[in-house]
Amino acid sequence: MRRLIICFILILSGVPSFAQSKQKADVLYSKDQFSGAAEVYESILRKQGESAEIYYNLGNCYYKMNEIPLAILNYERALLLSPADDDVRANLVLARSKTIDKAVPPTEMFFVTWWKSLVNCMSINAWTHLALISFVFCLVGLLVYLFMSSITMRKTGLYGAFFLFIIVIVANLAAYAQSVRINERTTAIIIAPAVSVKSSPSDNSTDLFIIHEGTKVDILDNSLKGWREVKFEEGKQGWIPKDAIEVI
Amino acid sequence: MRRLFTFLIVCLCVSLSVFADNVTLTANAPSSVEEGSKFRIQFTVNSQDVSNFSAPDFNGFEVIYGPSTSSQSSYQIINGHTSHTSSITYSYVVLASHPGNFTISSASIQCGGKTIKSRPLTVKVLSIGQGGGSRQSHSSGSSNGRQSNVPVTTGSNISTDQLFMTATASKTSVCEQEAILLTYKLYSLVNVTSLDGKLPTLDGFQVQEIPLPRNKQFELEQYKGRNYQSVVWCQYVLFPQKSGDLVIPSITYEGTVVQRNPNIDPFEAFFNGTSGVMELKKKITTPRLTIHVSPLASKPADFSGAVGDFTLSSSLSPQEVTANDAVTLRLKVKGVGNMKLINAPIVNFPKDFETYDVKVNDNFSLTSHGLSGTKEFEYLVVPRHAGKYKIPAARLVFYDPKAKSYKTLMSEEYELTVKKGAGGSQRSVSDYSDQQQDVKELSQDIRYIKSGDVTFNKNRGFFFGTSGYLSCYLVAIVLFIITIILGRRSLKERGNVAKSRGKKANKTALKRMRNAAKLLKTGKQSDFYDEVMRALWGYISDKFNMPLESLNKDNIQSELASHGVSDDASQILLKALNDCEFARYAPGDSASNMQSIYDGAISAISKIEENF
Repeated sequence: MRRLIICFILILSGVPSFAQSKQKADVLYSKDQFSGAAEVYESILRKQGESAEIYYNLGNCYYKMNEIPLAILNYERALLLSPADDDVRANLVLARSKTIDKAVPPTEMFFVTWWKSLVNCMSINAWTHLALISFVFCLVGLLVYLFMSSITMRKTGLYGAFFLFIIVIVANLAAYAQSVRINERTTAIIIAPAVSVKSSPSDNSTDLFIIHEGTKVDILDNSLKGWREVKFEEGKQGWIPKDAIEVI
Repeated sequence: MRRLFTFLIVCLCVSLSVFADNVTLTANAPSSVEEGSKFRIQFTVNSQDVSNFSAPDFNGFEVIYGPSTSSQSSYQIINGHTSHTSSITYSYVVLASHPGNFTISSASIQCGGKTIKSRPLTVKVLSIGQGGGSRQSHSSGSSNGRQSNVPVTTGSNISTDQLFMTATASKTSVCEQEAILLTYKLYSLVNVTSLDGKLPTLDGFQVQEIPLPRNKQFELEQYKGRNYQSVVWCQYVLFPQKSGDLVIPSITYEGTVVQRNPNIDPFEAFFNGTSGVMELKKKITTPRLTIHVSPLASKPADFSGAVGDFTLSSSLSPQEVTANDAVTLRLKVKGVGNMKLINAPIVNFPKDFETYDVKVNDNFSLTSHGLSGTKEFEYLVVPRHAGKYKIPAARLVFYDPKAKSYKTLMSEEYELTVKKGAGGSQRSVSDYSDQQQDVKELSQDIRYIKSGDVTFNKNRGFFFGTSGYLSCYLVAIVLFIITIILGRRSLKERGNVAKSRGKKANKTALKRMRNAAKLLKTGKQSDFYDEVMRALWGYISDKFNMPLESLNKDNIQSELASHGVSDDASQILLKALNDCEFARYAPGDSASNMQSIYDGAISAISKIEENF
């Protein structure tokens, strides 16, 4: 019983203390004490788990401290959790414009781009909820078709159910795509100021090209202990030390 | 007569009082003399209406002769304006008997009932130096820089301790831009008539020469135990422009020295007309100096370049203007330091003000501590639109070498009210369509942080793909199935709709036939046929649940056959339909025709009803 009470008190005290520390960090940020605010945000993330908003605020702190790679990293993390956020996108564009390497977007078919932007227009939870609600209404539509006698109502019910079923499938696919992205985390940001990308995972192998901080890469192979195989763009891939990158 | 007298007295009084205001008593004596030498002390009063001169106490000096009084007066008429100056000089000749510093207290004199005092004098009596040349006498009053007596020297060569120059810097360890006073002083035991030499261009310094009087006034000074005639030859103020050990190289001056030629017999010189003196050229080399310049501590971004001690004041005029009128903001920097190198502080005027180049008014002079005075920055701006504007404070960051730190001066912040121009009211509603401006992007920045509550997802868990998510679907499907089971009866009934329609077919047909019978009696021929046709077609359609549109005479037999209607019955029905159509347009006894058609239709319906 006592243990339960203590537990309860801890939970009660924990919630406002988190809210306070976030507020504290916000105040520090508004007073231009960015490094202090960044520390508080980092500790919130360690204790409370991931949050798009906290990542975004942390990214802002690093941006103001002129730590562009860390800012990009945190913006990317925020974008992963909340892909539809306009503020995150705007700041990420601004932060990316301050990196050295010019990122060339991969050429892809127009429907792939459309599909990606469709997937990104809502967060995973929003897609999940949309799928569930659509499914329920799809069944309701079927019932309307079955039980109503009026021809127009029956028609509406049938076509509506068909349309909603398509939405259920699309929303589930989109949510699945996002969940794969969030769980696998195959992209990373270069943290080291400049890294030479090697042709094989050893220090004395050939340097293929040099990549600078803040650049986003895809991780192809993370099975080795100290090395990661990364891809910068089509045809440019190689091995870099594990410490040089931070997974988003 | 009496009036004239009073007038004269008043005039005299006025003139006396005027005189009394300007009367001064000045004391004059050399600042330093050698022990055992005689020198003259003079007290001069610039008026002759004086009385009761009381001599000071010549403490430490022996008065050999004095006071001797001499008076002088002069009248000057320039362009009809007469001016009159007169003076009385009281002179003493005294002997300096002991070395040391002596103060001669002030002398006083009565003038028009007032007592005027002179300033006390300080005379330094130097002990007799070692070596030759110390015995030379020196006339204190010589203002042309030449000594009246040509010193006697034993040889034509002048050694470096007879004639040399020193170079002294006020500081040898400074920070960048801090002023240094560089002094070149000439010491000599010989008669120097001229000295040529120039300071070379110094690398790393900005050099400014302090103007000194052209006529050098030699002074007696003891240096390393010898009494020299010394004079400050030139002075420079240096501003180091870079850090490190900077060298001021040695300068070579060429001096001309007048000497008595010992080889020429005075008699021979007198008779042969050669003079007993000769001129010698002597090169004088000054020592070289090294100045350690330390760099300024890490410069702030908005450092103005100023090093020294400054104050900042500002003024805005006028504080209220109409649009398109000029406003002037003045920032005045006052102080001592490297005035020349102060950059104009940046003032962030509102962006749609028209700004012009900053005008700089320098008003400073060179002193031994650097440039001292004021520097005024004038910002001329023209507000183009009416409104209330804030002109932010300008910052001047300078380095204070005494405190060894940067200091920031802030000017005042101003509120500027710009009214719509009286004549400009028309302009303000004028058509901008041909010159509309794009909104200017001033700078880019990230968007502000998100405040307020946030949502967390721990352990990267999402609702999607969890068993809870799947069970939601299952629950929905189960509810769907339950609803169907509950409503299965009404569904079944809906399935029997065709049947019930079939049941009703006979009834509907009979109703129509009854209607036709009424028409038969009244003799409405075309209405009757229509009604019979409708009754027959409607009956078939309802009975076999076939849409009316898809039925016609060509396919009716096969359709009926497919529903199991006997050939016999369908023949009768087809005959009834054909008869009906034929009778409608056939001439003849209409009443009997109608009756037979009616009977045929009834029998066709009853025949089909029999089968089902």
